Amino acid sequence: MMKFKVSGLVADLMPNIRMIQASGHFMFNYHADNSGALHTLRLGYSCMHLLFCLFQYGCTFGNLVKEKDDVNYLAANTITMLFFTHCITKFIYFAARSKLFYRTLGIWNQANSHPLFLESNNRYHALSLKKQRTLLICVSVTTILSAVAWTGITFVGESVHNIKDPYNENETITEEIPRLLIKSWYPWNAMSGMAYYITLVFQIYYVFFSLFHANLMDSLFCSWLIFACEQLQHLKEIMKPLMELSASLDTYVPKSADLFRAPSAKSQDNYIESEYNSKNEELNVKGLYDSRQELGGHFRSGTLQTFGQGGGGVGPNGLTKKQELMVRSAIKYWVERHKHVVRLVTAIGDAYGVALLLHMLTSTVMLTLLAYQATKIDGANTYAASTIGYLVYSLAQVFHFCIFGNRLIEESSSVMEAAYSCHWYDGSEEAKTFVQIVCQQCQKAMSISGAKFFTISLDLFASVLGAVVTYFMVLVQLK
Amino acid sequence: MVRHADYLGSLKIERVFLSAVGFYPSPTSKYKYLKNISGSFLFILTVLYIILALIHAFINLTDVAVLSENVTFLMTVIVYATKVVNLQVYRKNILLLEDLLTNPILTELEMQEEENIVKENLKSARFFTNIYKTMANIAVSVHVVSPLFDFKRTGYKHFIFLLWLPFDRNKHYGTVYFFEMVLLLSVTWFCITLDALNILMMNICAIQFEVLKNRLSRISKSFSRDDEVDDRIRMQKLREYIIQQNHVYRCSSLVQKTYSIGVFTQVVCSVLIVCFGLFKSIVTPLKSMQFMMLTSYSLTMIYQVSLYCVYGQKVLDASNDLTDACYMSKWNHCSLGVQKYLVMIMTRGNRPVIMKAGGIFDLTLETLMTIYTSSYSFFAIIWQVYNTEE
Repeated sequence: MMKFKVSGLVADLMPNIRMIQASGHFMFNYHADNSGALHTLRLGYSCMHLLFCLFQYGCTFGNLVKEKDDVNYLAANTITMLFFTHCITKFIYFAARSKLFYRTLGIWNQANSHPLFLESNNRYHALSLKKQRTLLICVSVTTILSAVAWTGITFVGESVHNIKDPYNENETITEEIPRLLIKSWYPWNAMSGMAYYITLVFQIYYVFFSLFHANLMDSLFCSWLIFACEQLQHLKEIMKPLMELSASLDTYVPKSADLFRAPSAKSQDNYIESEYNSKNEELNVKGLYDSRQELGGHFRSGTLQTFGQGGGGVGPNGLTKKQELMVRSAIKYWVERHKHVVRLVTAIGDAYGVALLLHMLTSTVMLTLLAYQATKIDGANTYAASTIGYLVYSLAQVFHFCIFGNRLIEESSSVMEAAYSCHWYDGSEEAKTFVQIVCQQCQKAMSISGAKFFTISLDLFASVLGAVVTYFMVLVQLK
Repeated sequence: MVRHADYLGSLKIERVFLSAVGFYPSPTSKYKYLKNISGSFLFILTVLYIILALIHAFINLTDVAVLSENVTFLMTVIVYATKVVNLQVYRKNILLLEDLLTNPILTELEMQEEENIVKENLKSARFFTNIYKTMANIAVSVHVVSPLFDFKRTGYKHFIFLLWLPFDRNKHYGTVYFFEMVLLLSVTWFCITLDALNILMMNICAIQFEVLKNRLSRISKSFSRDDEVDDRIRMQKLREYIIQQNHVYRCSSLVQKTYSIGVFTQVVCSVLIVCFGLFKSIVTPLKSMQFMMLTSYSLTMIYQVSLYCVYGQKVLDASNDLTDACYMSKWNHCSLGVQKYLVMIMTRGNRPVIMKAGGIFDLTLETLMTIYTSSYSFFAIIWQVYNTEE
């Protein structure tokens, strides 16, 4: 069987993609074999997950309706419902907008390259791969630990949960309910026996898979941002050599090794497939000094700076025509790569912006209720543990995408500083205008916004945290 | 064939309606006196209502329920009066705006693509404004009809407005009710027309930015085989585009200055009304006429604030992407002269146009989010306090 060939972002994020597919999301591309039978099988698998999740969600809602008279239980059940709303929302959101996700993943399939900057490109690519893998591992481990902790805490607490008042109006009695992870209403009796064990296993599956549904989506988003940030770092690094190239004397022909005095690749090429490098080198050796191919045949050097008496001599900056063309090709590489990054970030925003908005709306309501619940903590018991667990988990989810959004903002705004701090004053007129345009473009930072309602940055996280603390303080005072 | 975008024509309904009563300066002086008289009559009626309602409020300062009801309507009418006065004060700006919107620099369209952009955007703004008008009409009809229902139910004569009148209202029920209805209808209809005018003008500013962006991103296209000729054509076009850019900025700042105070009072009033409404929704029983009046009114106010913020955001987005549009063209294939022009365009484009209300609030989706979350927190706290008191 021929191995399925992938390139660009899809190749980098293959582990993420495989895990997303395994957890039951509606992602059907990126398989080697997409025949009708297998496709139907996969579709059935995803639908099965969707049905189970919706069923359990409905049962939780049924329990909420059953216990709606007691304010405390109402608040607690609403928090549980909102917590799992994230998971259902992301599941359905991905199914509805998978085209945008595929578009974003496919944007980096054809990246340009330049032999001078190949080494830097590969180094940053390897760095971004490493970070993406680390992130995936962290997120998976955290999810597994949370699911295990949830299961554990179910068995730690008292066996008697519910407090109801059937006969006497003013008195409350304790009634036993099944020891399950989530309080739900089932059409069958889940108190003991076979039904109990099946329900327990079902709930463990539900918690496990729901947490993965939500966290894998967020982690995909953050991996995209990691990739974009590393590309921006690459662009910042090659700005200086580019300027030096345009300022060099006519006898000096730069070699890539000289341009990069950075402690370079200690062969972090483990992750890179060998095809990537060799294919690029093949492509570029051919057309490097061919002006027609480089500039698309539109260009006559006469419209640019005049090269003194009779062409072919030394220009005003001491550059030969050959070097002039090399500078121009380097600038072209930089500009095209930067535009590509801008397009990628726009696509990320289009794909995931609405999901972030829905996440923040749900989180706001949930954190308000959690602040209210937190005022009722009276000791180190399971109630306290679960409330604090919910709080920390929700804040961690918000922090997860805020920190990467913030990094994107910082990286993209520092491109202007890098452009200014390179030796542009020694460069040719063309290089100086290039720096001018880049400075204008990069004055505004690239950011991801939740459908334009708010910007994903650490400011957002700070405001959310501040709001929770404020509610908590106000409610404690009111007590 | 040169195409023109008919910006002024898209505002025809609003302009005709408002100039029929003299609130909007019309270029022709036909029926000028008639219009002035009708405008003054309506304005005097409004001022009369404000005075009477204020007296009523002062008399009933201690009764919180009545006071809140009174103040709600009073605020709406005060805002309406402010907007009318605002428009009168800035008559000259309106005429300048009309000149700008018919200026060929702004209305000339080069390609079919641009015409499509203009048509689509004008249509969608008209659609959302119509939804707003429908919602307001529904709210008004609920308010007009409900006193009659109450009258049928309890036999006690109810009025739309809470006023202090020097004579006994019940004796002249018909006339008083008629005047109140005239006032309510005129206030609502002119208020929503003024809002619609403002929003549609903001939309037109956004459309002009879109057209400019479209042209700038196509600047590197080759117009002829010869590079020198291409270069000359590009420089010429860029010169025109810069003139157009200046006109668009001028248009946006005129729109902002003209309507600023009106929008400010409107947004503040809407937010206060929504908060009052949320508070009252806790105390009002669910299945009464009161609740329906309350919901229809509050929903209209929420939709109105949202509409302002959405179109303010639209202008912000359209002007923000100007730099990106320049950058995304193949500028590095153009000559240095063209690139230097583009640098200047991008420098100006880096400062986006933010529509401000009264110089204080930005009309953006971020402000809208703040309004929603603040009202929700306000509601949550009041609900907690109310529940713990019970």
